[in-house]
Amino acid sequence: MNDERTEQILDEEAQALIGAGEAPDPRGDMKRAKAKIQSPGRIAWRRFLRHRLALGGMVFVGILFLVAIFAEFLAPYDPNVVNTSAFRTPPSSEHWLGTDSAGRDVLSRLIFGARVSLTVGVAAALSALGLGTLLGLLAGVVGGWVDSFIMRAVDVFLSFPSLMLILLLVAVLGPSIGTIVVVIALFEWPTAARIVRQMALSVKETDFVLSARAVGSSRWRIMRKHVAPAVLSPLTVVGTLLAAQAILLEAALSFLGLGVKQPQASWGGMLEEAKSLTILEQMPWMWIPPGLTIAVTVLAINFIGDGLRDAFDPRQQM
Amino acid sequence: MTQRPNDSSREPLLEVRNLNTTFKTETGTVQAVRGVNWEIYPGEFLGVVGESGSGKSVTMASIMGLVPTPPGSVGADSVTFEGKDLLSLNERQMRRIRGHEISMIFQDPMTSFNPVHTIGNQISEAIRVHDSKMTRRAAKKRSIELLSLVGVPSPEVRFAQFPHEYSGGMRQRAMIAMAIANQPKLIIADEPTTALDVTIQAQILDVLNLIQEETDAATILITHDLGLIAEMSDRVLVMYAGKVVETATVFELFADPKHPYTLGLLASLPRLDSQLDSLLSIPGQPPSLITPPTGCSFHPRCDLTKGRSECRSELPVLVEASNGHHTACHFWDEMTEIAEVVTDTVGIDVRSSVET
Amino acid sequence: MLRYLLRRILIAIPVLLGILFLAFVMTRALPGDPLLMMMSIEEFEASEEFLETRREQLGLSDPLPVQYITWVGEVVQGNLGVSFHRRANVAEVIAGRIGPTALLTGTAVFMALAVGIPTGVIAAIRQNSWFDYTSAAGSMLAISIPNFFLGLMAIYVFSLQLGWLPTGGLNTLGAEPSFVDSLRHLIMPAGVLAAVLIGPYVRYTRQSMLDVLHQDYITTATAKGVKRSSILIFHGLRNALVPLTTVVAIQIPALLAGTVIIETIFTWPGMGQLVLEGISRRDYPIIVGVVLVSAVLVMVFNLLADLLAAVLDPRIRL
Repeated sequence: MNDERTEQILDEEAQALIGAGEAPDPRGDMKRAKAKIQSPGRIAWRRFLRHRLALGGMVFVGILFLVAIFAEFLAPYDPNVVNTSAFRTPPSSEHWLGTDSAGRDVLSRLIFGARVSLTVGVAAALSALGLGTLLGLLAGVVGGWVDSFIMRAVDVFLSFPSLMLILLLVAVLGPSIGTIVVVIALFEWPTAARIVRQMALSVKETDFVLSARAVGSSRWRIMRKHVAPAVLSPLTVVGTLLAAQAILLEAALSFLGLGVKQPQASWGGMLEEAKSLTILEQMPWMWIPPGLTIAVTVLAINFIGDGLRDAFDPRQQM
Repeated sequence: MTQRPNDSSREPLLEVRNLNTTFKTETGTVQAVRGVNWEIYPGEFLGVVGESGSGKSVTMASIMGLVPTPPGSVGADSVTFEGKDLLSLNERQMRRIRGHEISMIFQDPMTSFNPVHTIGNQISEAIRVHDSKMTRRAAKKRSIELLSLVGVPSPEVRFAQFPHEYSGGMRQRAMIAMAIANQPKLIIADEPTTALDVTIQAQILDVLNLIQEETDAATILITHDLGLIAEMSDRVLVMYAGKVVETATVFELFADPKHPYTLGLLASLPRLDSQLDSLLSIPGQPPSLITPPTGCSFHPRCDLTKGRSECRSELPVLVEASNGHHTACHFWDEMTEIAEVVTDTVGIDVRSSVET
Repeated sequence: MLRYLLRRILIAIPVLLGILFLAFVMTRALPGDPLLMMMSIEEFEASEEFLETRREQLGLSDPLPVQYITWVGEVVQGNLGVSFHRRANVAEVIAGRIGPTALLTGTAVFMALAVGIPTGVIAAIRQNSWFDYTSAAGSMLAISIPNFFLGLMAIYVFSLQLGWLPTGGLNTLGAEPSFVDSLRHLIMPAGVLAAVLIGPYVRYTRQSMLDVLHQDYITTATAKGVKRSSILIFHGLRNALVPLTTVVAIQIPALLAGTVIIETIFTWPGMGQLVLEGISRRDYPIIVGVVLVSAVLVMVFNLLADLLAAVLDPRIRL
């Protein structure tokens, strides 16, 4: 949909992420203050540190990565071993978070589930960023009909209930981590593409690139040397938010039974059991811990993203 | 131009005593207005001149209670308007003053009207907020009269149009119509022509002059353009770095400036009878208002200092140099001499710029 | 105005064709007879011989591009094929599902606006107050909690523990349909669906309001002697609503995606539940049909949002 205002809003978002917009000073006369000059990197870092929630998020996600890496050592039980003597037992000293319908230890599955979520989060975010960057650069640097075609594709993808197509694709391709990553990347690239394109366009017009062209640098060299560094900070923010989204999406797919195949432990899959009203009502230990874990993880990542956005955005005052 | 009597025995309409306005920012507290004293008499046309950042707009915003607090903070010994201390009024009482007793005309007519409401509704709003008995119909009638008064052609049609359908000059006329809607006693025009084309500027000034004659409201014209002041004002207030540095009748100010900053402004006026390359500008930058210079804030840029320590250490106060002519300079009595030096450099007499 | 509409529809055509193309590719990639996508239920019930002639008629042995055009022709005429699982024309099945979904999403948007706009406005007026921070943290939380977990929690608390609300469905089965009964069934799924929207609404209302409150015309209004509350509504919110229309439109795809999960959890007989059922039954005509209808709905609402924005802001010319 060629909705100019939608584009404007999305571009403003992109602008905010890029930090290209200048601070609008409504009463220049009243607020004339000379700012001390500091390197942008230092300011960004200082702002990020001030963002306590972001810092907290970072610590949490850090710990989660350690948990995922050392899952074998941390988990008290094998997450996939069916224990016929302990079906659906409530939390006890033996099973801190109880056991599920197959008698598997909930805590162990939770710990191993971190692997799935983090893998999907990181892999999907990176693939979406990669695809988006590539297409965005192509659109911004080559321009012309390539640009129009890619941007029209962005419109299609952005104006589309992608979950439905994702469901369809997963149904066709068969559920697995790989499928989920590919499918998420396939539908979440447009944000990154928009930002990279916008940045490429604005960088293209700056003097140093014009002079680089005059000297005879190739387009791709220009992109690598000048465009790439400039888009790094906004892409970090987008990547973070994409990771959060991917984790949510994987959880939703697994919850619907279209994600990671059982018996592999995944947080969303653990919640699938709560579709039964009996389990929902009487065995909250089976579904509340994974639900909370997803929520806290996504929240932590979103806080990081928010902190990064504030840190990179020169428009925002501290 | 008509000189209105500046009879100091009359009660001033508005009297400002020791007004201070500061803004807290990331890098420190900006002292935008630093202890200014001035007054305006009924029917008087007062010009306020200074570079941007000199505190002229903030002074007016402070009086009107338009300074956002925080980050701003306004303090004064008194701001007396017709016997009422404006700073002690509550929000309700202040609302009755705004747009009713004192109204403002803003710099940029492009952004000063709300784009989603018609010009007519916005003028009507100004009328109706101060007169609860005024019907919508009556307010419309009055608005159309006002538009017609300020020279907006076919006001009935224009009433129902949106700001983006007006040209810049027409919008500023509408702004003036809105300002005079409730026959205020004081009109503050904050750089009303800065955002407009030169040809339109003259028309707007004509309208301002016209309405001042019609309503006899006291008018404050804020500008950085001494040329405008010369044409319009009775008396002039020169501001620099949040302080009033000189005040005099317009004739005195141009004929015999008693502050080196005023002289600098006069010398930098573009003139038809001088060559372009002889245009003078004041050296240096306006000072930081977070850490204003000690002593006289103009001393880092001043020719008159000649290294004298008073300028750096002692704050000059406004003294009466001659009747009604005040200046805040330690060495104002040396001004005549300096003015001649400048005259020699420019090649013409800066003091003769008032056409009579 | 009419010209604008025509132009918009013309612009929408290539996007729609793109979506149709994606759907077409999928119908060919999917296992199952593509004939199902193109015939009606009467034909489905007919004899094998008839199907053969029909297959000829529809040109299913023609080259793919020709088939694509034929298929688009059928779709444009409203023929979305036949659901072999439901033994009914897809168009009719979907038509029966649009009502509940519209009720659910409409209520959700209404609830989200009713909460989001006032919250955003207050957060903007009291910038950097505890309210501002709390609402920011709250909206962050709302977008971080997986909606299926929120839905399960809601059922657990309000239905199973407190017993205030039914666990799902459109009405109580067998009971006399009544407004109160419908409302009791509607409130929980709509509320959970609204939670996803509230975050963005709060953020954009706040930002938009802050932008507006820094405009010169707000100072003008204050200088006129207008009451603060009138300024906030007549000059503030009135102007801040314009970009919000676009934000609401942008959120529609996410909203439709949310219905898949919410309708499943709350057994709400809408399009989301239908598409999931289609996936689990491999009923591809249904899936493709829902995807197409959703895409058209998104376009229609984008157009409506634009028209609304033009009504709100005279500067927007159609």
